[in-house]
Amino acid sequence: MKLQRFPLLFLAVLTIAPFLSTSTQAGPLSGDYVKTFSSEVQIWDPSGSYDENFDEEGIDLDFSMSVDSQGKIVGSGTFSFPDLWQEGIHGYINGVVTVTGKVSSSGSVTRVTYKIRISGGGMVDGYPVEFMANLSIKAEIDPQFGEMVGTVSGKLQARMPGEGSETIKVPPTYFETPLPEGMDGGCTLHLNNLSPDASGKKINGSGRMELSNGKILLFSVSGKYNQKKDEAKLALRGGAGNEKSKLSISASANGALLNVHALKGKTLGQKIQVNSR
Amino acid sequence: MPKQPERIRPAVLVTILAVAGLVVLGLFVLNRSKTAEAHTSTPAAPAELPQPSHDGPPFRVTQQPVNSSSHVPSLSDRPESFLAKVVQRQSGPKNVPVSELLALIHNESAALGARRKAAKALGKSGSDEAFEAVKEILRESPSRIKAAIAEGLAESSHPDAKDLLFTLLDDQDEVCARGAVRGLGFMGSPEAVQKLVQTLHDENRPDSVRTEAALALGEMENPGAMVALMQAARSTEDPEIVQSILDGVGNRPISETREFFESYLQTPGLDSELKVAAIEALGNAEGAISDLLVNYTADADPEIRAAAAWALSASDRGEVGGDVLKALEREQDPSVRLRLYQALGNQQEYDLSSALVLVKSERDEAARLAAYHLLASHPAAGEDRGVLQFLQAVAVPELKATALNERQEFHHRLSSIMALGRAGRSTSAATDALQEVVGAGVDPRVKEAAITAIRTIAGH
Repeated sequence: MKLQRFPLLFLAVLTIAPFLSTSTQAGPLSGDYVKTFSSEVQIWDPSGSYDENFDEEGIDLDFSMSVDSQGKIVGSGTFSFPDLWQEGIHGYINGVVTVTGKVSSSGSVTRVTYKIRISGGGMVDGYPVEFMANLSIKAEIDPQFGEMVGTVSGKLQARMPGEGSETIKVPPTYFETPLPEGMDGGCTLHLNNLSPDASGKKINGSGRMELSNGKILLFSVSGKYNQKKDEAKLALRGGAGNEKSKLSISASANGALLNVHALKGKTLGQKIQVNSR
Repeated sequence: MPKQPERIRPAVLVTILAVAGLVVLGLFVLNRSKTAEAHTSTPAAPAELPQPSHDGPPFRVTQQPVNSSSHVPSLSDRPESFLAKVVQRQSGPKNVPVSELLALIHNESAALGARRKAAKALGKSGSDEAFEAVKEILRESPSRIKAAIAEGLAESSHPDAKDLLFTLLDDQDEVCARGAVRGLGFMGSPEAVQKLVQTLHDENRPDSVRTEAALALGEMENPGAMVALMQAARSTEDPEIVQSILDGVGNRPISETREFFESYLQTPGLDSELKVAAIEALGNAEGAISDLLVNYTADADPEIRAAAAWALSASDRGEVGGDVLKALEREQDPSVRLRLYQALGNQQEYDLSSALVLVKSERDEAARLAAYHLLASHPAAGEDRGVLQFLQAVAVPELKATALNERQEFHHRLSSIMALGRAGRSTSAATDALQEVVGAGVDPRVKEAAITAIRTIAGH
């Protein structure tokens, strides 16, 4: 009699088992999730103000620069050397500073390359002088110390209208500058209002990536949930002010926790590729 | 190693400007007809600037002998010149005993920049004592110190330095390996070129090291480096590596690379992403390139048009203002228009009235910010009544509102501040707006940018 019951019991277990395993699955992502990254995902933003005041010589080089969603840098500021007399020259020079450049990444390194152009003039011993500088900074982010480290090179030109000009080349020279306060590469991903459709397979919502300096990159979120794998694949497309950013995520939910299995994409000129599997 | 506890003083850019600027200005006072006596004693600050000399301007190109009675002491004559001090400070420690260099390198409370310079100086030193110390340091030091040593080894006269540098190229620490790449780039020898080319093509190496090799080859004067780089641009399959190769080629003067870029951009079936990379690489090239770039502002692909416009904004000042204006008139894509406004600002001249018409009709928020920056930056902005009225009545209020709006995207807020800084040269309304931003309870970074912008106006 036991032998006759066993196959029935076995059949019953087989029938019930799928439902048992399903009920332990997390299910499609729904609602809000937060995931903080530290060293595994780093997004660098050198935006900010750089005030390089060399008090001993009375020189000021002040500028602000900002990075857009494509990693392109724009900036402006001022350069002044108000009193050349301390070096035996009567006069002063000052100028307008324009900054253009880009942030890019390759493997483990994030590079920041930008040009500082100074255009201005002043008076030297009573004569008007035009002054121009084109400096090229090629640097990489040092994550350990939160700096940009590299070289600066370029040329400077002084011109006296009607008399000619002199140009000096600046050879590649060691350069370093700390990143603005608060920028350490860390970032936090927020997925908000994730709503699966009636089938539970399609998901929509919104998201944002918050950088360590407080900068917020907005995204719209759409994707699919695979019930068998218990995994969602989401596409994040840049929102207002962040149009050129794109990310894709493979993730699953464990209650309120978001387990990110893979993250890939590009934002602020930097490629992101993380796979925790 | 923990992050440095205090902000390192970023003095390099300023001192380079000061050094070179003073050398250039110093050349202006060489061979003046005034007597030397007026300059030999320590000068007291004058009450006001002197009037132009009736002898004519001081600028002369030809040199005169130092001992000539008509010679006027220049900056370089003075034994304790500012020039000498600053150059010494920036070039790092020279002829410092190895023990002192080691003490500085090991001093974790010293500024990292000073430790790096000491490490580089140690690497450069050709003595046996220094070389032994280098090998010891390489076993235990942080990545940046090792990288600095690798860079220094390139200049070392020690017979084993080159082999050690080649070894560091294979270091598991990517930072150190990149330092070795830069060292080889500095060496510039045919052997160094060969090593870098091998590194570039080696798919087993980390991408960061391969791309560093591409950039280093682009900095080398050795013509073999550029030949290898141009060949690699066409033969390498990995698009990320190709982009760095193109950046490397773009490091050279355009006179050396124009033909290559023209040919490369005409390659049949060239991937759009690589075309964009090539055009952007041109933005870094030294020399006149605007005539080539402006052609691509008419490309069918908006990504290429945007890349061309960005390169026009980043390259040497161009003379295609009229063409850029025409591109703006026909451009439908706001993200491209944004770049075109930036490009227009980097042209020698353009018709301000025509630009004003375009700016007034700009509807895209981000493009409008770039357009306002363009108008505000024009040298004649304060003299043109139409522009001034527009800045005062429309641009400045909108820029202020953007800067103060906590919900605005940070890049837009910062861009607004920078545009107000430029506008402040023409209208006090912009200065008032910036003062208001400083006084409001805004994001500290926005406030800091506003303070910098006010200084910009004051220093003009």
